[in-house]
Amino acid sequence: MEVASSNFLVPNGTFIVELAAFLIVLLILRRYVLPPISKIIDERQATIRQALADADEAKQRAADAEEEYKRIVSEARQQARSVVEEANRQAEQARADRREQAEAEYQRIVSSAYADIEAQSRRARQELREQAAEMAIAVAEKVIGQGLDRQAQSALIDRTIAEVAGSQDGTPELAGSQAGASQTAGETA
Amino acid sequence: MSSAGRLVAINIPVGDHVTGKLGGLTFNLDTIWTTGAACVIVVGMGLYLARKATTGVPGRLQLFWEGVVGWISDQVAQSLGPKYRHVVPLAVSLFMLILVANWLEILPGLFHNTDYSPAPTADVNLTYALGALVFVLTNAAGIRARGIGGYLKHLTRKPRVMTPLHILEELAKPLTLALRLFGNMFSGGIMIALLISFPLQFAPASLIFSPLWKLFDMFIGVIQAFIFALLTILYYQFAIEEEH
Repeated sequence: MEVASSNFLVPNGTFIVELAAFLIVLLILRRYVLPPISKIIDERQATIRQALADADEAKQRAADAEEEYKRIVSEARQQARSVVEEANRQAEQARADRREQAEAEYQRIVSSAYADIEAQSRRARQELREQAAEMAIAVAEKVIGQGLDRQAQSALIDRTIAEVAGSQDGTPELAGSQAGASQTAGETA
Repeated sequence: MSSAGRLVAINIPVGDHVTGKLGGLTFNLDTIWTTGAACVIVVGMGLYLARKATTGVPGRLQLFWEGVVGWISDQVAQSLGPKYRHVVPLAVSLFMLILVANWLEILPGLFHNTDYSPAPTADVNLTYALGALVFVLTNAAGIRARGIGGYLKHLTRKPRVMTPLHILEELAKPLTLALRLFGNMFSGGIMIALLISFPLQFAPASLIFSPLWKLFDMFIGVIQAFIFALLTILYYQFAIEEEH
């Protein structure tokens, strides 16, 4: 080993050693060091890309959900409104129906009452007519059966009327029905 | 005047190496040792990292390597395209080895006969070796991309009178690559030697400037490693690119 001084721009045998040393470093780095490092860089980039894509997707999904939520709420609101409207309509309908029914019932009761009164009064008139005819016949019999003078006539009529009235008293079921009918008519009016 | 005279009188060894002879060849043993140290550091870091590297949160060392590999991969992808991915290991190895070798300069002399430890990159043997390798590889890539005929045609492209200059340019590329690195690191080493060699009355200045210069020299070391790797990629690009 010696210290030698020479032209420092001229290479010597060291050149070969340096070249070999560098080639060894190059081969080791290329074979054992760079592949894992490159792989890790790629993987990390893939991870980052994936994470970014995931974030984008999540954001998109959130936006979709928000949209869906808004849509559902507005639908529900719409439905609620239509339900309320339907209920109101039905209630209105029911009220109208009931009023109509009550009106019809009222009409029916009133008209049946009128019909009742009409029937009673017709019957009363019929009976009155029949009695009047009977009375007239009885009076006629009496007039024809006895000589007629004015006083006798008058007495006869009075008697006849009294008799008829008495025979009327003898038919109480008729008078009772008449009184009942008039009473019903008065109540209905 | 007397101190200036003493400064001039300082014997700064230039181009001195601890040498050994083998088979008629001279070997600069100090350069070989420091190169070996740089190789062991680079390979050790690399292998350690290859085992420990994680896809999770990277450590500082991993971050540094990933940064270098990422930068060079991008550079190669941009300049050369996916066909030349095999240039990435070359450029990464150049960058890492040159960087570590440059930074060895800040260590006090261990393997050398002087007080400073010259970087192995301050020896032309290393830089010539790397320059020659780049020269061979880039020209081989040029021949492979263009064919031997196309390669020669590119060298002798019109105007014909420029052909010698084109050949000279090709030869200048590895030479400048090697000498740029050598010159920067060599002069950096001389600066450190000068700062250390200040006479005693300038010791405070030496104490201040020595670390400052070493920091600056580290910066230069990064720059030179960067330039060497980048120019290697660019020379590849020049070698393979289509005629304009």
